[in-house]
Amino acid sequence: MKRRIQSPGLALVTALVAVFMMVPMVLSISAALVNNYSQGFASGLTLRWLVQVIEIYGQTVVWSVAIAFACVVGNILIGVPAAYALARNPSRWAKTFEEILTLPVAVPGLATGLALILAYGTFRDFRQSYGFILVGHMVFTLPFLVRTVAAAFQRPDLVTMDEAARTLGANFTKRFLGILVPAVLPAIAAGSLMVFTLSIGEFNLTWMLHTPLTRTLPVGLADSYASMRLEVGSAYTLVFFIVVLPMLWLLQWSATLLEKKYGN
Amino acid sequence: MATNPVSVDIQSAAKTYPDGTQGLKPTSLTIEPAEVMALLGPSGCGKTTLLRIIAGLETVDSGGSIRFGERDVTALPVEKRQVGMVFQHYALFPHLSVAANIGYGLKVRGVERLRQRQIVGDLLDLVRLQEHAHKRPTELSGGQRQRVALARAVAAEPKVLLLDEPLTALDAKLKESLRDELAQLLRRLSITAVYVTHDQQEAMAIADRMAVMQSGQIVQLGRPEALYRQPSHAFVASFLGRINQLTRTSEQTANGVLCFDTFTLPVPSSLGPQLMVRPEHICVQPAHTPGAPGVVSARTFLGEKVQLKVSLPNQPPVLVDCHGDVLWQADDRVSIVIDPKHLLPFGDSL
Repeated sequence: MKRRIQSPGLALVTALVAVFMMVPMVLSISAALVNNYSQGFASGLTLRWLVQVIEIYGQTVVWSVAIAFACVVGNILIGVPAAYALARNPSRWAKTFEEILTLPVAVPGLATGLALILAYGTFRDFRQSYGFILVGHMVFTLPFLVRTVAAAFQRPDLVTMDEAARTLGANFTKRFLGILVPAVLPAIAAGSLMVFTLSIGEFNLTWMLHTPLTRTLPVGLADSYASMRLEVGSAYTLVFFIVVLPMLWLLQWSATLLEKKYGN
Repeated sequence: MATNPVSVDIQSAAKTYPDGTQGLKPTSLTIEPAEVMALLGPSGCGKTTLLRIIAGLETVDSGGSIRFGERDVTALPVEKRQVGMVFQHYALFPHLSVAANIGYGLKVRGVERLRQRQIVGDLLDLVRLQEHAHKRPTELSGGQRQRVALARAVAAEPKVLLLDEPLTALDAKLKESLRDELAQLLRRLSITAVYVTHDQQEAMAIADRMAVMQSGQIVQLGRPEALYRQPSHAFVASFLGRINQLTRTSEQTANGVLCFDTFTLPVPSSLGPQLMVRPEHICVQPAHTPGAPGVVSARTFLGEKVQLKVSLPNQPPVLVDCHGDVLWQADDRVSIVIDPKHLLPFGDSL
């Protein structure tokens, strides 16, 4: 069956926007794979820039992924109970607390980074570890998880489900872990996906918190853009795509699966 | 299942919310062992509040007390009260199978696995859902879900079963069949039950006794038939079915009559000046036969019966239920016959 294009004008605008957005990506990827960007494809294709990136910056990729996963786990451990507490507490304090929690999203990452350094920078071992960057990422991404999950906990059907479990004799721990958390799993998955995405690409806060020995992928990226050949920088971008995109797809797929299984 | 049904004794239970509104005025009510008590009333009458107080989901104002049999449960949290509750929108656990939903109460109470499986199997038989045991609640119809909810509520042999408008979310036809099934199940389980509803037919079909509530208090308590036939208040009469109101002058009251123009009906003075009569207790006869003269102002065909609205001299118009094959039409002149024994006093105003 042939589909008729209902509005040619709209289709043209869509196509133009798509091309406009694709061109930089294609150029960036091609720059990573040619011998000399100024000569274009005539200079021949190579993988040596990719190899060079992996040699110099391979560690940053591993650490970025590790931090993003740790950030998700940490935020789930702190954020899910916090979301429940906020959802069940009708007081003004809870509202205020939620607003404060959201502040790091609005405040420039640089300022948050500086505040963290002022407060905890004197703990040398902590300051020089990846843990310091992890804390920064968690402060920044926590509200995204808390808000998504708190909204799920507030659903009236969850309140009744909680009451039903209580009448059946379940104590708080059993209700929370056995009924409530599984019921909000799709929201936890959606929130985690957001946390992972934000953490893996976070630059501004990390740039303040990093040390020469603790660098993440985006910080390394900035370094390569500033000090290396254009081809190396582009190869680094390509590495980012190759590593992160499959992970995002995997997470998205598991979130959809959870939604199908536990969503109602 | 429940071998020793207990009574529920509520003494001056009241509920005042933090904002000062009184959801329930001090209420006392005793429910006999294995009795099905319906709490009936319009929304906001306090019936759900009373149910939640019995469950322990709401605290009772100081001075009130709840006893299950000999045991004072006023201070017990809901988890320890051993109640079973069925909710309006089922409140099933979506991530658990039907069997796991039914067995949840047994599992959290640490009942032995083999025994769990046995009880769940028996209950699946009872609610006729054996072949759905491994499905998730979302794969079931509304009626099936509510049967799962009932099985889950009674699995751990609660002392008291509480049902909060369990049929409201179902469509009319399913509601009726599940209603009769529920009435049977409750008798078979022989369990003390409290059934909240705003549907008077549902309450009458299911309950042994019912408490009609309005504005946070019980207005009248009794067997459904008694309440329908001898309502003590105009509110109860009108809530349990349609009712006509008639008035008479103080002179007529004193003389023990009710006058419709030239026609006079003997009605004892003791019934007072305000009278009520149900539509099915009024007869329509051809004009000029003995009776109150009236004119049909509207005719509604309802299948098995026809409802006529008849205008009467110096009385408000009355509704009359007639057999489905009567031929009276609007503007026909008719004669109205009322047997005085069906006239009800208006009762105290609330």
